[in-house]
Amino acid sequence: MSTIVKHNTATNEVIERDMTADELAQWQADKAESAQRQAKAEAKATQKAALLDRLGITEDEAKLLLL
Amino acid sequence: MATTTNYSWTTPDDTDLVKDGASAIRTLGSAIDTTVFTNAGAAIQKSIVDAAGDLIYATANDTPARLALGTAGQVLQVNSGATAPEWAAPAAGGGLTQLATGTLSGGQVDLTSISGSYIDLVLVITDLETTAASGQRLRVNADSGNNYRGVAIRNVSGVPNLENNGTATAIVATAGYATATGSNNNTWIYRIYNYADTTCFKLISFIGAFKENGGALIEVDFRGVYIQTSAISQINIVNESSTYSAGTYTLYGVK
Repeated sequence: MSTIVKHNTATNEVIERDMTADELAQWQADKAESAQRQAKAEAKATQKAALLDRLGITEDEAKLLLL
Repeated sequence: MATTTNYSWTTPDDTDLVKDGASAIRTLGSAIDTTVFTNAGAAIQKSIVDAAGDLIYATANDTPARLALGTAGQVLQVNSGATAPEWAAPAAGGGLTQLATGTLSGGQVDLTSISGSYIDLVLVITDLETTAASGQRLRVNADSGNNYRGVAIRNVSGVPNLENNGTATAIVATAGYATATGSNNNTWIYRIYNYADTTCFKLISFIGAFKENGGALIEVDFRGVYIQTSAISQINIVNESSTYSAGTYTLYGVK
């Protein structure tokens, strides 16, 4: 169970407590979305490496084409 | 008949007879009396002022009054009724007021009950560390709907990319990458514009620099919008898939 910090800026009261079921569900949804995004980024990196391989150029050489 | 240079009082000519001297003196005396009386009535009495720094102003037509010197640092201004001058403290200028500061902990930090008395909010996050590689995101008002949109310029190891972040359930501070564990000098500065307004969408921007899990240094410049008109009274700093092990957040109100 992860925790959540609540900082009331009006009273400066800070409490840390376990996440409620709703908060935990949202956090896990964020986690799943993050994993998807990470997988997508990794797939893109793999595709990029494969493309560089097919072109027979290094990443530094590819940067020269972009800049 | 001769007259004086300034007030044209009548005086005897050099050739006048001595027997008319009394009449001439009376005429001159009467003229002087009239002039002095008139001038004295038109003059501002010096007794109006009492101390060094006193000012004289008018409370009405032909009605002088005293304004005592203000205190150190005060400026002269028009009073609220726009009827008289007054000394007052100068109006406060712009600047930042710290509303909250603390250490990042747990999986999420919520800054709640944010005062609506400022123009913008600035959130500074420094030295953020996580227990595992994790993305970072920001929400407002605990809203996890598809109400956030923006574009980012991301610079990864010297290669810039322009990204359309589309419509999302949060502003993703790491722009698709994950922070690495440990100390990486990560920092983000967010600005939320016109946050207390209740009639227009809320513009949000941030600049950030962090070490990606693979080790690359990433800089991000984000411009976006929270597509809701409600005032913002809460900010949610979300660690997507781990917990915070270090880092500081400081929230400022901007006048």
